[in-house]
Amino acid sequence: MTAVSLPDIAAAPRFSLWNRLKGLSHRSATAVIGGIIVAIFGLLSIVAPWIVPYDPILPFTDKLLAPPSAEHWFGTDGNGMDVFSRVIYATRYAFGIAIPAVLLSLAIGVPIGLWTGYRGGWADEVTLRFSDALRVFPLIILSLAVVAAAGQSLINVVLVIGILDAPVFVRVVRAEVLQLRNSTFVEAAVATGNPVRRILFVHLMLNATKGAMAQVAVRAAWAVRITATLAFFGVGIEVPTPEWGSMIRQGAEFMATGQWWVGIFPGIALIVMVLGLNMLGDGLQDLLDPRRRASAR
Amino acid sequence: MSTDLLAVTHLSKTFRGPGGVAIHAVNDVSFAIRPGEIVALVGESGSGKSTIGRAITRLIRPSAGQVVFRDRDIAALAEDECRPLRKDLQIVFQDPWGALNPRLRVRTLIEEPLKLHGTADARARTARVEALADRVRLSRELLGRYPNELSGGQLQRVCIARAIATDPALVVLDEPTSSLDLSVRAGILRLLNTLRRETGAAMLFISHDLGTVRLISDRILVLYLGGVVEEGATRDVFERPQHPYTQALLSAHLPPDPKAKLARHLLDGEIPSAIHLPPGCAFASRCPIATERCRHERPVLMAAGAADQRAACLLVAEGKNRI
Repeated sequence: MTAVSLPDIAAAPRFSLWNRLKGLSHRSATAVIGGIIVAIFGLLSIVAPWIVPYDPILPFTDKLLAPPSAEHWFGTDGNGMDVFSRVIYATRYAFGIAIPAVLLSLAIGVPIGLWTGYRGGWADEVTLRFSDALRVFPLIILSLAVVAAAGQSLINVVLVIGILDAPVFVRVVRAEVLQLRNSTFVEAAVATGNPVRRILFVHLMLNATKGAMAQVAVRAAWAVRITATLAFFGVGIEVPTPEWGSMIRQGAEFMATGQWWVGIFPGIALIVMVLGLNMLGDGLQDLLDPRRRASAR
Repeated sequence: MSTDLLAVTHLSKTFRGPGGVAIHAVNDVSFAIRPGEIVALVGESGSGKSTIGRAITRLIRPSAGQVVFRDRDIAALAEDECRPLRKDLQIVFQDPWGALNPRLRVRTLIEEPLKLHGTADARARTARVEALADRVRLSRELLGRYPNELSGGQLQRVCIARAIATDPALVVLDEPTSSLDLSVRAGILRLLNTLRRETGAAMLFISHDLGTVRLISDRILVLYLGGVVEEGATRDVFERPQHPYTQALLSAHLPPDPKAKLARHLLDGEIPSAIHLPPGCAFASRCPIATERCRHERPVLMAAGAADQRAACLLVAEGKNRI
């Protein structure tokens, strides 16, 4: 018998992070680009204290509204604070509000969606009507009103965004549960003697949260946008705090007099961040939706 | 205390169909299962076999009648009260691909009934899961896999392991082999036979495959349009079927011996609609020997043929029930 030459195993492509990323970008370039943008912002928010040239709330009283220069890359604002440092620092507030708000939405929306989808009947009816009623109001107006009434604080902004956005998760989870409710494995779970609690939070939750996961980035984008909107209207976050919305508000005032840098830079940062989150969300939906994925393969 | 493990009396189930029409899936069915016995429930699709299986395991609530399991009527119990009983009353479904949570590993799936009903000790459970895997002849290597990595036969073994994990007194097997390949089917049937010897569990074997039923069951119930038309010991029913429907059914079944003489009675038409039940015998519309009386008078099960054999046919009394 002659020796059969085997293919060189070492020459086969390595299973590395880089290769995985390449494979993923083949399936959804949108998700990868969005993910990279969000990752860069995330990194900036973590290292912000070490990379910013100045304290973001330190006013240079002698340099009000200084244009961009080597000293102040994005110029200074009406209080003489360094715009570059503030734009970078604001990523902390964007993530600091969006992440807990979306987690809160999930914590409220997923259990309600599981329960109403599984139980059906009056519970389902009531929840649907309630979330529809909530949807009738434009959310921006509603959150403006609620934050204004509840009091200006970061916690209130998180609570309002998290609670008002929960119906989105109720709906996607409920829709998935409705499809699974009559499947044999749920029936088998009942037959095995699972209590309702375990059917909901083990059997259904493992199979019905794909849609919710795909929504997470999109809802985070919404949270970032609404935080900025609230601050733009002077609700939620107080002025010296480095936050894009309040910076844009101040910048708008100086736009007419030619000090464009005050508002443009935080505006660009906000747009790129929201765009990145939305791209990530869209891409995730592509990847997680079994039908879209099947056609992509 | 009766000797029956399960006694079903006057069980009926009516579903609400589209537009509110009543679909009579099961009509006034009574039968009993003794401990350790394998009873087969045969009938064509739409005859109400699976509905009976689900009513017995209280996955659906019967519209009328009693399901007495261990001297307790479970038909009327709330789901919460049923839960402890499920330890002794298990079911294996037809479709093993759909009956297992795709996101749980095989080990977790087999462990689940133990967790819910049995041992709190994790180490004891692990040992039991491995013992169960051995018992259903499932390689232990597969315990770490997910359901989509297993074949249909392997998945059905997992389902059976789950069903017998808590040593139930009765296992309902809802067409456990009909979605499997023939070669795999034999293995599962062998396994069920062995398990019955080893565990002593009674089984209700739901099937439309007469060959399978003949191999495995002690007694047989023939179902037509939601009602029992014949019951008796498997051997008696196969050798001397009394009801015309059973006779036609058995004549349609190919014997293993190719030289055997075939006396075929082909039935015309379809099983009647379960929405408008015929006033008389359910089988009268297709029965080759039906009389005018059959179309108006509803027959009840009466002794026919061998001891313990009964058929629901008016012609039995006159001895004219042979087709």
